[in-house]
Amino acid sequence: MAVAEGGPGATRALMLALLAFFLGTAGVRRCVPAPDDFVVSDKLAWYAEHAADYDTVIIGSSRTYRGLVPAVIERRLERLGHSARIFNMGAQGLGGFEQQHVIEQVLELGGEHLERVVIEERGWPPFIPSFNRKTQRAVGWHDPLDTVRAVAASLRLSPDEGDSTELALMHLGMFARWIGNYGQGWRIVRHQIGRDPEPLMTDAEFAEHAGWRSLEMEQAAGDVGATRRRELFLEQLSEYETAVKLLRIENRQEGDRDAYDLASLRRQIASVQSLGLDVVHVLPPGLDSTPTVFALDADGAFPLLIAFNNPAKYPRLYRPEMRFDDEHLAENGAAELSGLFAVALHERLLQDEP
Amino acid sequence: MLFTEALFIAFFLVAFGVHWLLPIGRPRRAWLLACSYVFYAGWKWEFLGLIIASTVLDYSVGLALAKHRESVNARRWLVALSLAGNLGVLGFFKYYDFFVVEGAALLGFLGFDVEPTTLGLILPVGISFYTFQTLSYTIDVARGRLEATRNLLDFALFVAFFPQLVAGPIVRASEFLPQLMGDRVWGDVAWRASAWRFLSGWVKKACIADNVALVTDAVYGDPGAYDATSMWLAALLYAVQVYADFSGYTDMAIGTAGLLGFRLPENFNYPYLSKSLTELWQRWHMTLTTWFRDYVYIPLGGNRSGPVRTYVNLFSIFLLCGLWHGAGINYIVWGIFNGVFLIVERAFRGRGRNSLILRVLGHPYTLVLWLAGLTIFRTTSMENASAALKNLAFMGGTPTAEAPHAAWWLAVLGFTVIHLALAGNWWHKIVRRLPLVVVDVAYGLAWAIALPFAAADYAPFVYFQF
Repeated sequence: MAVAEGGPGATRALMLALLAFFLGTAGVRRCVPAPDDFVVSDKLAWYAEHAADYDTVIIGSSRTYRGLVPAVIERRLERLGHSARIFNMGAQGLGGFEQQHVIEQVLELGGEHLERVVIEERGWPPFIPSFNRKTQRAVGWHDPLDTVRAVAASLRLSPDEGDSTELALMHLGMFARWIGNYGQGWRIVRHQIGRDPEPLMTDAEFAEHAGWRSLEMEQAAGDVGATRRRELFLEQLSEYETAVKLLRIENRQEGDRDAYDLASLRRQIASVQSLGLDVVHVLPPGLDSTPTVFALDADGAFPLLIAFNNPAKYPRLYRPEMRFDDEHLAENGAAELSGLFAVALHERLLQDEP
Repeated sequence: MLFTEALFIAFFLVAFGVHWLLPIGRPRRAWLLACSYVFYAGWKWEFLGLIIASTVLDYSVGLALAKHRESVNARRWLVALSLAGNLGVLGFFKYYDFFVVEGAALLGFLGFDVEPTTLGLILPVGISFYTFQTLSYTIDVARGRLEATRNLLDFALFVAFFPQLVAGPIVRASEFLPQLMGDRVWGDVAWRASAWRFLSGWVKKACIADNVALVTDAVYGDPGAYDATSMWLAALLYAVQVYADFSGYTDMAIGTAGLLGFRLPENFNYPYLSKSLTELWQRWHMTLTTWFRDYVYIPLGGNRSGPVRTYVNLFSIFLLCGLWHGAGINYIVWGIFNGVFLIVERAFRGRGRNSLILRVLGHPYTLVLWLAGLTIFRTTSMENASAALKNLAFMGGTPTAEAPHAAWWLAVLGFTVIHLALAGNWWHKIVRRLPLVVVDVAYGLAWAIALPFAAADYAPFVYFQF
């Protein structure tokens, strides 16, 4: 481009260009639609319109998404003398800083009857699978504050947990994508002309299941991945049973409190409690041992932790016939877990309420 | 490290900032050489030795040529040494496996059973470019057109200068070395123009070429599965992609070099406005075509020894041009294809040049030939090339794949309109009249608008493989 030189100096020109750039990207960011490959986008959109209908929101990974059935919990609580309206905001792979980002969006949407937020306890790992690093779902939560938190968490990692510098750079790279709205242009155009992809969850489903969906439903809808997971689980049942035995042993070990990002947990709890809401943490029945979480609970770090990842205490939840695969409950298992969760909520939180 | 990546921007900001903070002269040049080596090592540090070896070889040959200026024999031997060293390395890394496999196939065809032993070599990035640069230096010194440099640092920087190291433009020593002599001061740098040039290259690469690749990769991956209309669309889009990709890289190279105070030669001059293949080759990858002209075509006799010899020379340089692009039958066929049509055009040169038919049909004729050639160039096997060409000729089979979205035709139209509009250079005059504050604000906003339209993933530059 033939541009006359001279005039304002390079520094002034750079400042002007940077200012225009940041204002421009901020303007564009307001037009970026929610990630279309992430069920939470649809859930948040539904919740934004129906927030007043719910008093409890459950947020967590696929273990929570598949495992806690709002209708079952509501019925059980009703039998115990409480009325509740529950929404399941869970999604595959949701945890850590991304989960906190979703919690903050839920809190922002509020809901005049919202009384409690149930959060799956997943720690604060700064990892993101490589195949997810360029998705808008992963990039979208890398605002300056969450990026700083994720970078700090990356740098705290011990060498045997991963390459902390590489992880920190990864988060900074995702922040760069976030700040520039990298690659979101055509999505913005499609959104503006009303050509968004079909939602992952329909209004009818929301009305019926309040955000929950079982893996059997996915399978019936033709999800090849779900079928493959199921087949693998059935093929490798003995490995699963060994993992459950190992979990019993590992859960009894000493927890490493220093490895846990307690500051982020405290921030999370404060963000919910500051709005006068109850915060409940839940550990669904998975195969990851959590001695550190138990140790922190013993220290009183959690206002209320309801832990099901204990095969000794909840052996039925670990029976193969209750499970869809090694990580997720089948529909009957989900019903069982939801009932147990309702009872625990009644006994430990609601019993004394008027 | 791709020019379109945030990592390169960060690298360049450090290289740029420190460069201008350092004192004029040797420290700046040493810094740029260090940056260039770091940049190259980022690809594969093991290959850094090849650049350094090539640098030392041609630097030494240059000094020896200066010393034995009067001896024709010595000069010949020294040039032969440089050619053998540089082309030997290039040939080994780029062509060894290809010739071994094809040679074994030929022997097999002749009835000899030979098991080829391939080495699975990785092609060092940019080797075709810097090899031609160092060769041009040695040949120019041997011809007495250039003084041999005694400054190893300057010569090393000429060979490895990072803006154009991996994909050109192919810079001659006579263009670059004199720029190192003078004191490059910030006040003389056309930094606004360079910054805009970088942005325009970034847009071409990230927003055009990489987005278009979604269609071309799919269609050229299995050309027989698509209908003829889709094939034409893919061919047009590939013409857009390869131009946007390569000229985009050139723009970024010229822009970054410009911000460091260097001028690099232009490589493209609106090639798609050409009315003949001959003209197109005068506007496309100009530093390569002029290299072949000066160091191969003219030494072979050029057009001074009668038409037949001229045709042989033309054919030879396009065969070499095809081979330069890659070790594959398709590249050789592509080179031959271009060579043959350039010979035909040469044979009919001057006849009816001003006729209405040629003026009207020149563009579509050139476009069809270029697309057919690019189709051979793009496909990875002759079977695929044959399927794609049949499809272009509306002789393909029953399509099994869904045609690309019709909106891609709009993209072709949009590119055509922009290409035609920009060619007039009328917009330069408008921009020149704008207040500088507006230009600077527009620069920031242009980045804010361009970034969202980049393809969601990075893709390597097409010409990096050469």
